[in-house]
Amino acid sequence: MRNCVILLTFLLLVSVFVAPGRAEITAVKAGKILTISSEPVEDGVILIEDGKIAEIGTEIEIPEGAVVVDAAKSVVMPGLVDAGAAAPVRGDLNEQSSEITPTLRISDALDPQSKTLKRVVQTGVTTLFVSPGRRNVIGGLGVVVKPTGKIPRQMIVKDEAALTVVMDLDSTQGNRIPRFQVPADFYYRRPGTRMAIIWMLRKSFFDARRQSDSEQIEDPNLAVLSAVLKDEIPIHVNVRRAITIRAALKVADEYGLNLILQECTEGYKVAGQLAERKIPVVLGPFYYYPGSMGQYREGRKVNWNNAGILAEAGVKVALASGEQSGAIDILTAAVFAVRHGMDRDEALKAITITPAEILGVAGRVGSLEKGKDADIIILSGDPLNVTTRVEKVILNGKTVYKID
Amino acid sequence: MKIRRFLSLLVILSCSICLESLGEETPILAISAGKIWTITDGIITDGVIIINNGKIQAVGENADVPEGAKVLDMSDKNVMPGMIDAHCHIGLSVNVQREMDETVAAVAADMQILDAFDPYANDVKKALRSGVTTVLLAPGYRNPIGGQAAVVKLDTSRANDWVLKRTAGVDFSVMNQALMFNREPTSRAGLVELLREELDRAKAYKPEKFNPRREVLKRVVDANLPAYIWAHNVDEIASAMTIVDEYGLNAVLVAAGQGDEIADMIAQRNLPAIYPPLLLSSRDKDLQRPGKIAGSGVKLAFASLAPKTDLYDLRTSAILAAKYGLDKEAAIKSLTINPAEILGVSDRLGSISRGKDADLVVLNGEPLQVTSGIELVMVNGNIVYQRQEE
Repeated sequence: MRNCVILLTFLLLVSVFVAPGRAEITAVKAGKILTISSEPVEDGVILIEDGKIAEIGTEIEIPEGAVVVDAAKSVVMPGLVDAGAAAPVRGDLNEQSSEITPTLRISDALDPQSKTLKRVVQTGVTTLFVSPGRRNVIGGLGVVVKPTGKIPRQMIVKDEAALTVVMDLDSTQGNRIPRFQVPADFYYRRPGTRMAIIWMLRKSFFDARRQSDSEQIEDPNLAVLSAVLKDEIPIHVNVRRAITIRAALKVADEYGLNLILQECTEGYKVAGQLAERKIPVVLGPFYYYPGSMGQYREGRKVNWNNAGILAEAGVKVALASGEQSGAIDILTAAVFAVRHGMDRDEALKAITITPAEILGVAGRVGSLEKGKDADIIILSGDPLNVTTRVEKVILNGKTVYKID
Repeated sequence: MKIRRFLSLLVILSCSICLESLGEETPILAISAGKIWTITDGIITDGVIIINNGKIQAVGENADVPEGAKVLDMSDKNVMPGMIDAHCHIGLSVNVQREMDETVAAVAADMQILDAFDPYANDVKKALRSGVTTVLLAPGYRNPIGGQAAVVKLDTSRANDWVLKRTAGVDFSVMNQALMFNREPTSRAGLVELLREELDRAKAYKPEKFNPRREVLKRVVDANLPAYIWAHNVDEIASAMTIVDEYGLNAVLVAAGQGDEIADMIAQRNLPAIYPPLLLSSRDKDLQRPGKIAGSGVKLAFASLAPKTDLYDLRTSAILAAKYGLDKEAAIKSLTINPAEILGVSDRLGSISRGKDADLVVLNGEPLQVTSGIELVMVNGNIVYQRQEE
């Protein structure tokens, strides 16, 4: 009882004297801190002030009145970055009325209440890249978001983060009419073949290049494409088979594009070329059961040693969970990649700092450093162990998920 | 023969002149009411409303009843202004879903819902029976830009100015239901992009090259005409706010069911919210939402969205909202003066005060009681519905 009274008085004092005018400080006491950018720290402390990491190290005094998160028996690492995550979007991810929709911003369709976000947080992901779907040759502009905020604008870390291009046969899906019938709707459209997809891509950039010298570009579609040509917006190309990767490299050569490859399931066949051109790849989604490999699923198989081979060849590799549900989360994907030959440190980087660099947000997320966003996950053990659980997720200094 | 014909013509003429002069001198009407819910001036007990020529001439506890006035004794009854339904689709056709959305084109800004309105439809009478005297007739939500909404009074039989506004605003929709699988747009991002494209073109519109669609959208972009934006979920409301911010539209949120979650942002932008109907079967969480959104300072009006729900549900919505946290005064305002202000007709409607139209509803109990029934409905001083004793 007495203890209780003392505690209450203390709390009252704290709330009266400390709270006003001073930012709340959170201190995370960690058994082991995997900073990613530098050596791991044993028995360290992370101080969080104003949603940012204020201090990190071993001998740090915890200020009075700080909220202490005790993770002395746990492993702490930066929030994971998923460079191709399940999209928290209501409705279709694709604008199917045209094959070329560069002006489409997926940030206009974000749904902060999406259940997908909750699921994503539970797997330890605190930054994710949301891109348009794969039913258009040029799909539109993707966005980097954090799973927090009430309206889309509060979620966004970086809008217009990349232009999504799909070069596999996915974008031809549905583009057929039965023979001897009149084309009734816009599913009667080009392209139907791989060569037509590549032709459309090439023509779009051809038109944009012709326009890019003029002062004012009237067509907003061409304005986006010429920004890509000037390297102002990165370009993510979704390719799976080696033949398509080679085609993508050829188009990139013609227009001087700096590509980032997604999925890339047959990347191991061209690892040398990718390393030579310094093209980063985002691998994934990975499945336990790849499912049907029909016409539009060509190349969608799980080559677990792909990541190891590419990383060894010197390619920057990131792991992603892909926009469809049912895929493996990236922490588990990293475990499997290590099991099939990827270096441990490389695998950890492939789910944190590397995707952050690829997305151009490494200044804020991807590692535990002073001044970066306080996106921290607390794990029950070594991250590269299948039995490890995500115990707690801290996003911008606030706990957004913890296990019961 | 000729003289007889001439005489008969004379008789007919004189008769018609007599009738006209009679029509001009409608007797002054005095309603003595137990309780008058004036909305803007509080509640008057045992008051009198004097109605002259379809307008309210005086209202008060001891207003003078002129000689020769016809007195309606409602001393045990409650009188409130005619209710205003801020969004509905009545009087369209048997197949309303087909009539309210022109889904062949995604942008149908030049279409007017009034062209499809049948003033003699059954649900118009039903609306009057439930105390609704003015409605905003709206196109549906299955088009990014659905068409022009109209404000009409429902006494279409005798009053000759029942159309208050032929173009009261343009209906936009950023809801998922505006997406189709076989016409543009098919995605939410595509929808927002389409609206941007359309509004950009309207901005650049020059009247010399007449285009009815751009003409009306130009008025919307210039904020001369309200944009009624359908947005139910939080993300949809956020999309609507994006467009409003980018183009500085004079906007109203329609069917903003989850608006309470971001009520502060809606209030900050001064966006009024039209609330979808609440039903007895609604979840508790939904029933609490109007109270929360109005508590943040958002101007609230209820809409029946009829025929999706029944027109009787308009008053029920306010009653339920009041039961679950909405301030009682705010609840009754959300049926009367708030929609009048949102629709821009508050100079004529929305409260019982001098100079306004005599659109009145007489109830046998307080308006926010479920048990109160509607006894009499009056539009422009004409009785359009009276409950029959059995």
